Amino acid sequence: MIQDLRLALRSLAKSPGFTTVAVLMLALGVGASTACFSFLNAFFLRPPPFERPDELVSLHSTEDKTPGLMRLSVPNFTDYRANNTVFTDLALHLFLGVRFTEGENNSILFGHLVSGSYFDLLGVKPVLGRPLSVADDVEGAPPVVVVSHAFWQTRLAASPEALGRTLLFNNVPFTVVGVAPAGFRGISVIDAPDYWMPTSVYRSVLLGQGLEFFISRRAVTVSVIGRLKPGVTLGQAAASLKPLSEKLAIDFPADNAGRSLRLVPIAQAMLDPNRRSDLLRAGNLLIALAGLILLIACANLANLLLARAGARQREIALRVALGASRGQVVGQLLRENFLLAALGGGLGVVISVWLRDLLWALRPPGFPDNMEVNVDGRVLAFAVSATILTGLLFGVVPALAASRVDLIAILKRVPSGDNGLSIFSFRHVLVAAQVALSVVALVIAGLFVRSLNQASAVTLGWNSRNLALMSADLVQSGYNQTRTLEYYQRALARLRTVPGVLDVSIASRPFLTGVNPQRTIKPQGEDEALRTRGRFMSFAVVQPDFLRFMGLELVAGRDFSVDDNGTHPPAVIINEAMARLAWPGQDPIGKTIKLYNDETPVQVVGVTRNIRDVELRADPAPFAFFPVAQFFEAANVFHIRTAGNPTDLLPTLRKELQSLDPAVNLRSIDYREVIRNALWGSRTGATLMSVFGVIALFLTLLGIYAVMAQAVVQRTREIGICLALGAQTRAVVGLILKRGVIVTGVGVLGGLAAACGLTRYVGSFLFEVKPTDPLTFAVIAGLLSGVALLACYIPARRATKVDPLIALRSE
Amino acid sequence: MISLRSVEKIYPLKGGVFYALRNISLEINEGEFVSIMGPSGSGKSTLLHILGLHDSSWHGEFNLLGQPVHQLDKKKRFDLQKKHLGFVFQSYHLLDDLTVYENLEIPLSYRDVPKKERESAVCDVLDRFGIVGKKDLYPNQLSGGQQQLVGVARALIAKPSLILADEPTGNLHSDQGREIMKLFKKLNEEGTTIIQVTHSEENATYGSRVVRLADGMLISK
Repeated sequence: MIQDLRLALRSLAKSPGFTTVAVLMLALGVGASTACFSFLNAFFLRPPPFERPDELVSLHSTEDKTPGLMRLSVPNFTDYRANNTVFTDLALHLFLGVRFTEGENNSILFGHLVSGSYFDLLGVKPVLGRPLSVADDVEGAPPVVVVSHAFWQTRLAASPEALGRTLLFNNVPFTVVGVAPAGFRGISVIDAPDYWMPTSVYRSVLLGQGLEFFISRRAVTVSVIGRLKPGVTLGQAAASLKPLSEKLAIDFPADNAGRSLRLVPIAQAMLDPNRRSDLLRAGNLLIALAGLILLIACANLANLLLARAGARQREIALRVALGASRGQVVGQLLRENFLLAALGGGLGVVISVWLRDLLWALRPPGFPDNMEVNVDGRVLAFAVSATILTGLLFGVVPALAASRVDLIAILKRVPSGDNGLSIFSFRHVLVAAQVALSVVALVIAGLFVRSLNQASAVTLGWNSRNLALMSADLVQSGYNQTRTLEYYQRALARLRTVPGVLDVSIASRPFLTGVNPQRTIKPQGEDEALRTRGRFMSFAVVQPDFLRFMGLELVAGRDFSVDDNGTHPPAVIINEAMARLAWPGQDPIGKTIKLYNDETPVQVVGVTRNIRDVELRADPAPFAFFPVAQFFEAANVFHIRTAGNPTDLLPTLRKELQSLDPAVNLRSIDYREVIRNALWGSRTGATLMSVFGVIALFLTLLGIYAVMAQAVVQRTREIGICLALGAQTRAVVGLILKRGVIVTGVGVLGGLAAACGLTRYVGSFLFEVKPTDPLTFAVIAGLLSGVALLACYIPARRATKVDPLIALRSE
Repeated sequence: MISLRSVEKIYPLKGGVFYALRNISLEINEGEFVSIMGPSGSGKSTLLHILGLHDSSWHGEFNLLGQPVHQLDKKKRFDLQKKHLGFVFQSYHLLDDLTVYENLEIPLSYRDVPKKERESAVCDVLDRFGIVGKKDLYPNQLSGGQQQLVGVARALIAKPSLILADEPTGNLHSDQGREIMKLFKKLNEEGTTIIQVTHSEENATYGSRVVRLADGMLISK
């Protein structure tokens, strides 16, 4: 065996050019697939790091007319926990940011507020100390905290004496009782919490609206997990919980009417279950495209090996003459091919680590940078499987073909009757298949590029030019309503004096940042369910001048004014989508809405055009603007219009606000970055698909060139005779090109047909571009045909340089 | 040892059939050294490849070592070839990627001879042909005569009872050619049956009998 491998290695070493190209092609294919798979593995396949994860489920609320899965309210959680018969226990967790004081420094640290039984329910044991317990979760219990392993290492010097130390959160001393195991992040794979606190401390760490929502039965604020009792299935549990949901809807109709409960296995809840299927499809698309590259690489390699087999006919014939059976010859060639695959696969794993880092750099904004996307056993198994499959795909056919030799003709050195590959030869089929696969990859890439263009050129409906955002964390800094309003007035006055600032306004939320606060809005129209129960809708609380500041177009009614304050009836401006939903075919001006737990009618005074507010790609959803003087919102964002580049002005703006109160945490961002982040999906899709498309194109051109170049070599004698008989250069070029044109044509047509069928699977990733966009199809067909013909033309041109004397003498 | 009865090799062409060999009947006994001669295109190599069991598309009767080749299936012919035949080629046909040692070893490995036995057989042959010092060299590091010496050694290593040589000195200088022919003579004297195809009358004198072909037909035996 070792000798066989040594001989195979020697055979490959004898053709370093071929071996290098082959190994690199394979490495690229295996590396790209493995890198994509390592993400799929990290996000979707890795078993949850909990005890008996199959028993764990995530509980979600659903509500009529509100799409998607929602979290639960704390009172509902308490009722489900007390009254169910299917769970051994339920636990809640809430991701939150709390001000952490370390010496003189304040910062916001993110962690989880959890039920006392959270760790026990998951079966997670701290590496140091103890987990939180039910006793910690009793109101009045001393505040305790379990810190993350990373926190312990970076802030507590990994000291065993960290236990018992006091940490200051929101000026409340918490005693460290445990250190979570390394890598433990809680339920979500993308959260990176620093600590876990029992819910008993909620009044100390939740402030303002956060506190209000935590105790509300209507607000769906907390994530809930449960462990099924042994033998209870998901379906049985769901059936058993249904009467409880119905009872909650009857007992608390204002909060729970129209709501029910949905159970999701924990493995499917570790990424936002509402986006999981999108992310999974994106991951599968990436793997599929990487697989396409691998297929093209295999076709290329098979072609190169077939060409090589032609050159090795004498050697193979000789081996047969010396007594080698066909099986032994095939075995030897397969050993070489698998060695090639192994070398490519090995290098592919190295490349996959590099590609993984490259892909990770393209992660969505807001993803933590310490995710564990490791090359674990599953990833390695994938790489090995891909390598073996690759070896089979590209190795078997050439090995079988090569073992079929005309022994006597070769040993007698009879000139081959082959005139340079028949038009229907397997090698041409391979090239046509490569062209077809490339067309598919390039069409997909083209669609994503078109999609990016569309998204970049989309009309936002508001003016994003020279806009900076700054937010001040007043709630965490202990500001009450009066101080908050006072701070905003002072800050507005101060910011307007900064040279280079054209205008400043305030809104409770910026557009397109992905943050989408919603509240229950009950339009008083004809729809009874909407009128009585309402639904969650997006909203913003704004300064009276905000709509003008942002350039939002009013299609009916009026803008807010300074008179929309506490002394006047409350007013709201809605968008066209809400007008259409609540009062279809009617004039909404003068109509009213109500808010949750508030019977005061709020009058619609204006209607704006639909704008791109939450996401660029999303269809316009109902949206409401409320004036700040009538609807207080503690957390607000300064929108600052500058004369020049906003980034240049950000340090000055920060300094001005810090001078008002150095203790307030400030965050700032240039809006261009927000837009860039909003375009992330389109841009990343276009980038990745283009990279895959270019690789596919390159490999295919290499394949076409190799086959055509070999055809020229094999037809040297024929070309020599033609030239000796006086053939013109054009005729010789035509002789070679004809074959290339036919093969490319078949491939392009086949590819376009395949793309027509396959691109519908990427339709949901596209923005205002049809999956069968004729322009994209036409451009790609033209592009591929053009460059393929160029790849044919170079060997064809070389054919005209054949010296008839040398060509004929060589025979 | 070899008995051919009305053996014919036909190529169907558009204008009719072409006889590469026609009505060949021939007996060759064990221990003979037969030279097949004739002009180019007379069918010498074709006959040799039929005798060497490389070619199976022919008509007639062919008995080799008591086995009716014309009735054997592909596998049995292959087994017969592996067990009893050795081939020497005009242009040596050594495997370029393998050393002299490995070139000698390869026919044994195809016969599933255990590694120890292979080592012993190769050492024995290297010794016998006086090429121990060349065992780690590659074919392109040897002269033509040395390469053909290795070719003959390789044909012999599996201890065949019949050696078929296709113009074994065709690519060699006359001195080297003579050395090879002396070697064949010696092997024949030691009991190996040899059939060679040659154009050289001088080479034919080393053998015990000359068989002449012309236009695919036997004109003397």
